[in-house]
Amino acid sequence: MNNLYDVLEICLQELENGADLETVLARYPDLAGELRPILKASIQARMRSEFVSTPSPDVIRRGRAKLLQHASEMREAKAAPRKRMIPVFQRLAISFALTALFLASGTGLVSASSSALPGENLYPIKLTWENLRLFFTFNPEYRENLEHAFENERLHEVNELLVEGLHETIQFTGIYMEVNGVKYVSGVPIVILDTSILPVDPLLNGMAVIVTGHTNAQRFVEVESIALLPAGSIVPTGESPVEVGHDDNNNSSGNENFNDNDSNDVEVNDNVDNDSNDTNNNTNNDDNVNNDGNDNGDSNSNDNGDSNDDSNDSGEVMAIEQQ
Amino acid sequence: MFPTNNDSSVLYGLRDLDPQVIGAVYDQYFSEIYRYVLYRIGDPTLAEDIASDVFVRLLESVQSGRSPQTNLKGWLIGTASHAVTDHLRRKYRRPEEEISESLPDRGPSIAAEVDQREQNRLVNDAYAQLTPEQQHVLALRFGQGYSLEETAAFMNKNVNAVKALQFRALAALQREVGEVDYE
Repeated sequence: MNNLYDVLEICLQELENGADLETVLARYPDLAGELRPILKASIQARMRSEFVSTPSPDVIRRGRAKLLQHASEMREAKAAPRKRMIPVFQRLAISFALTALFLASGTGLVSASSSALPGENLYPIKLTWENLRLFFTFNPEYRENLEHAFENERLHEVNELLVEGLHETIQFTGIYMEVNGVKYVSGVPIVILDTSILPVDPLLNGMAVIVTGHTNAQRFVEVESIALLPAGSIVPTGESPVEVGHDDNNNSSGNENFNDNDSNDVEVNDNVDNDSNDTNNNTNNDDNVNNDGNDNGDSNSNDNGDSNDDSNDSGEVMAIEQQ
Repeated sequence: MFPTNNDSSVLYGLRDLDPQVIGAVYDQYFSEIYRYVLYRIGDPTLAEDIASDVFVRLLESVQSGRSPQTNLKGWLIGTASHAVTDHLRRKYRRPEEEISESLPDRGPSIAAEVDQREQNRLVNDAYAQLTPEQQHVLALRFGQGYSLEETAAFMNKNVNAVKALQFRALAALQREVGEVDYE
């Protein structure tokens, strides 16, 4: 039997090299009867491969985008702090213990860390303190406000890093805008590289996004990846991009301030492509681009973060319907 | 010729979810995996989905600490084979959904004039009747054009076992096709 298998392999090689079936079989007359149907089947099996085309460029591109998007989500999931479900009684017990610890040790270190930036030694303490505050906040509404305040703080930190021209890895949320070919996320200038991972291309103005990237000395963020936030997310707006070359009364093309002084939250409706500027500018026409964004950021950094507790004052946008 | 791309730097890159490494692995192997899957199931849309999913499974596998133990290409081919088998199992569990379209019309009028297209359909149907392992060996040998040694490595078998399996697979294919003249 082994001989038959070996002869079959030899015949398959010869057929692959272009030999005729009958010619091949003629060399093994004793096995020809047994080999003939097998070799016929091999020809049919090989013919099947002729109809198997290579994937089109579109197929390759789609698969690549899907894979890189999945990788980006996995990266974010790894980076994001895990929300742990801890039973109430355990949480209370831990609360008492940690409160006693902080009373005993003082909070000087925490105060000192409040203005720390990514890369600085005190920054982990700042994040730990934020996490502790979230941990001990039982009221869902108050907890949500705290989370929004900390999102504002992340945006403020990115701005600070850019002002100082520091190289750091950062992640922050905001609203995507493109003005005169320059891309921003909540006022922070970003540059999308060839290697950047995007959820859609192109991104549309008004989309609520989370950006992962690196600050640099050129004062923009090199984007590693951008992911869309789900509908209903609340994100800080920061400073709006300024369009150069228009007079001060021109409010129509991107130099509006997202922050609405008279309302706490501003909704981004589904007209995210063209209408987001107008939507967010129904009350604030003074073209004061920087003041509100800076106020939010400054209050975060100079007040141990406590001023952020009421995050509704800090200019956030709720994404109602993401495209 | 034989793939040896299971070097540690690639695995480290995959573990770190490095976009460049992921993109490079995808670019190197996607077409091959796609063609393997397409040979097995004959549906380009499904082949696209399954082939893409194989690479997602690779990331998840590496992240969960289950790095490919064999070479990377072998792992991808093996995972693609399992994914196809899973798909076929689900499909056969719900035969009423597609059976009316997937089965050929075996009416005498069409059978009388077997053109090239009809013959391909018969071969497709015959191929679908083979066991997953028989389909796998034919896809590797005749779809991908791998050598006996490569096929043996991908299937975790010795060369003699692959020779025997190949023989049985071709015999089964011929039985299913019947005496259709291929010439």
